Amino acid sequence: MAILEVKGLKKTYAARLGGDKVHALTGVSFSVEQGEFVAIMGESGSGKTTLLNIVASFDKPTGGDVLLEGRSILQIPEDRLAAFRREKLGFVFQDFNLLDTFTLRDNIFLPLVLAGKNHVEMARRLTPLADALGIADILGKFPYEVSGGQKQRAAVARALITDPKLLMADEPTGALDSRAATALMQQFERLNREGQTILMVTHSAIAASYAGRVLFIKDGQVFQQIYRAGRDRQKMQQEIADTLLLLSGGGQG
Amino acid sequence: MRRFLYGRLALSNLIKNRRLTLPYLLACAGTTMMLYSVVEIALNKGMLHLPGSAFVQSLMVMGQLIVSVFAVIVLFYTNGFLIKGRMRELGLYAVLGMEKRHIAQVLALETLFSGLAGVGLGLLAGMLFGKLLFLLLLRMVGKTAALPFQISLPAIVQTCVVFVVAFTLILVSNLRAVGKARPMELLQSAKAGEREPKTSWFAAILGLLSLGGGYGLALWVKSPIEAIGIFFVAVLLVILGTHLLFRAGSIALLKLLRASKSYYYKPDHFISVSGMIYRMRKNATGLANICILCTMVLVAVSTTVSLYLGVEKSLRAQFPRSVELYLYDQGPLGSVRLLAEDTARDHSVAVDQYAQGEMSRMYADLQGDTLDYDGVAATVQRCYFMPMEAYETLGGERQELQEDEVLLFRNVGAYGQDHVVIETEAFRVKEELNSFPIAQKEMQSVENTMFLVFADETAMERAFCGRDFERFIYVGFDLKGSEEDAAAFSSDFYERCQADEAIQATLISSDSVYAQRETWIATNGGFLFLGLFLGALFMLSMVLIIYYKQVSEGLEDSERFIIMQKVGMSRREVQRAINSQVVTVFFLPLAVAVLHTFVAFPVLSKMLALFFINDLWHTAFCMLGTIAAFSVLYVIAYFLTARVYYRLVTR
Ligand SMILES: Nc1ncnc2c1ncn2[C@@H]1O[C@H](COP(=O)(O)OP(=O)(O)O)[C@@H](O)[C@H]1O
Ligand SMILES: [Mg+2]
Repeated sequence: MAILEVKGLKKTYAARLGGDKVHALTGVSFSVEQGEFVAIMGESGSGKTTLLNIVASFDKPTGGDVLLEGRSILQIPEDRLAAFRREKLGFVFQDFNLLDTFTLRDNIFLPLVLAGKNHVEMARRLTPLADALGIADILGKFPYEVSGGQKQRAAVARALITDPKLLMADEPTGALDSRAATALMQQFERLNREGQTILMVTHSAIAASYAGRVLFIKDGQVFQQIYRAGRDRQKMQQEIADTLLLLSGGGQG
Repeated sequence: MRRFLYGRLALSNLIKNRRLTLPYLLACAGTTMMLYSVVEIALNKGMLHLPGSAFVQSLMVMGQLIVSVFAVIVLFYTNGFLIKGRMRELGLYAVLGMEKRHIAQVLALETLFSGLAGVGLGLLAGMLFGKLLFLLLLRMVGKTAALPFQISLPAIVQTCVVFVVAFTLILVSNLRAVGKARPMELLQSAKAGEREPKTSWFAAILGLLSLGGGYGLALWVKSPIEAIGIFFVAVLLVILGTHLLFRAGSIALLKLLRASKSYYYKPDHFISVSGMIYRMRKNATGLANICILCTMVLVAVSTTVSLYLGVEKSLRAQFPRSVELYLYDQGPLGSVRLLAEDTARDHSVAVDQYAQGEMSRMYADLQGDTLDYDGVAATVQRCYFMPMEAYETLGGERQELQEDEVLLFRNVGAYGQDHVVIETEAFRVKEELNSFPIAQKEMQSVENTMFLVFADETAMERAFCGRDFERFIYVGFDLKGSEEDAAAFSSDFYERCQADEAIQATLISSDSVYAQRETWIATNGGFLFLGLFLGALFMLSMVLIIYYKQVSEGLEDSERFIIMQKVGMSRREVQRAINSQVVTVFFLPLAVAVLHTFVAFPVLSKMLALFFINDLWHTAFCMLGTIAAFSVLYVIAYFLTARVYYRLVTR
């Protein structure tokens, strides 16, 4: 069953001072099956973040629809939206978005606290997650006391602690060095093997090569998609790079 | 050409940052205006010729000192906010290849421009509104003379000197800040220092002790004389305690709350406790300063209002009868009465409540039920002894007394014993009086006073125990008629007494409410003016600090709240979290200031007793009124500055 269906999504940003309207998305359709790991690629400014923000209900589309588990998220009333996001979706951002006022532990607890869970239950959920992500012994530290990779792993823990249907990530490796990026992608791959559905935006071919399927966006539309289909990562990475080349070449020709 | 470039850059910086520079400019203009006005009043030659104005003018000299020092501190302090907020921008210049001396040049020009604009504007406003302030002062001190409020060069020069000092200090500190920093640090410094504060239990406990000590002194102070000495020690302790508690105490408390898991992990508490810990580190000093400024406003205004509105009470306390004379000798008593009645007729007023009586006065130390003439303890009382006959002519009700019986009255508190032993002679207190014809029952007083009424001269002589005490005759009466006529009577009567040889020869002193009223109104009006004036100045600086606090917090918090929305907080929840934090942080200083002021009540009311304001209810009423009025202004300041904050946070 498709867990996520995106149908003919359009997004037009109102004209900025003196400029033209920006057609960020002109008709994006795709679906994500339960247990899939999908990466979305495209050049800078191609509308990847816009797409993710709409799927995440941060933003409203100009046209089209987004169905999560068969239900349109656009129909969810404003006052239920926060709770919906908290319960069904998990996010990882490029710049971590951890709060400096909280320790890593409290940052991870934040969505659960907002959902009104008690602290015993929260601790019970955190323990296996923190062990799996290798952050068990730095939970008491503040974001400014740990490395970028550790911050991002804490952010992943925060995204996963609510047990979301869909984990979304916008350039999660964008602010990481290559070692930390590789470690994070291996975590994603493992999480996906354990059944987590993941939708990730990236412009890194290496990061995308961990996914089971890669969608390419160009001119506000899905341009092409390739499946990993059991191939090894090197091959996958090569094919992604070739497609990216085709993508930019196509722009010129 | 180059210089021109930097000048333009400086100017455009000021305009670009107007959200920050404009309030600063206005504050600068405001303090300039106030300083110029008060200096002009202090230097005003016309005031010298008004009777009773010398004291008012000396108050203004004091005011001018306070305003000068305060203006320098406030401008220096707010500049700190400004420069901290701009370190990034300056860092960017450095990264873009501007040399430090060029940055310094731009900063110097900015300081010069904003200083010139602020002081210029302030002087102008001072010349315009100073006259209004001056008229207000004259009204308050009860003078109707139309005095010119000139534009005086010395006042302008003196004002400028103060601000030149202020801006030089500001410039030096800004240049030092830039000189010390490296480009990367400049870029990062807006983000720097975001570590969680350490809990300093030592500072928290010291703060508690200091505040407790200050409170203790203020609460247990016994006599008005003691109050003066103690007041300043208490003030210093409370200021220290407030600072330490805001800084360390608040964080210690919040961390205790955080340690309690079942309390902390609730949606409301979670965000506010952690937010407060973070916020207190940066703002504790600012909040403590706001709190102290609030307290200063409340204390200054409520005491001076109490003084001003209490002039009549204070006169009543000093003059049980409106006109009073003290004579050595019984001889001219008859002619005094005749003279009073004649003069009254001439001024179409009537003599009322005429009272006279001979009595002796001495100091004695009261220990338990024993009065000791040689005592020098702090418990010393002023005592008046008189026979029943004098009590009657003073207006008391005649009672039959035995030789060993007395009537007793104390002005403060009850005597409450049925015996009094004077040195060695014992008397039975037949009755403790609740009122006395020529004294007031006071709730507190500078001097504790006792009146003893004996059966006759012989009984009184026995109480003297062989000593010879000063004797005098009291004459006092009220006047019925209009205030003006009564005032005219009083000065005429005084002259006629001086003219009458028989009276003049035996007159010790004479005084009247009417002669004193002018002085007291001038004095207390001067105090009120200064109190309100300084109150306004403190208020101005307080609003300024609050404004900058809101702006700097708004900028920071907007990032935090965006993140919170991303991880699943609704806009409403975010709004609520913002609200509860802002309200707590905003009203905490006011709440603590009100507490400080309440605790200061005993010591303040005792100090007011030195000005013969003995009515605790009056003082309490003035204090509550001031607190209410101030709170309204504070709430207005809240709404004005909170708007700025919300706009920043929810943009
Ligand atoms: N809030 C906005 N207002 C106007 N235009 C926007 C806004 N956000 C993004 N855009 C424009 O939409 C296009 C897609 O942006 P984005 O989704 O951020 O691309 P990507 O994440 O792929 O780099 C860009 O041209 C960008 O300038
Ligand atoms: Mg993007």
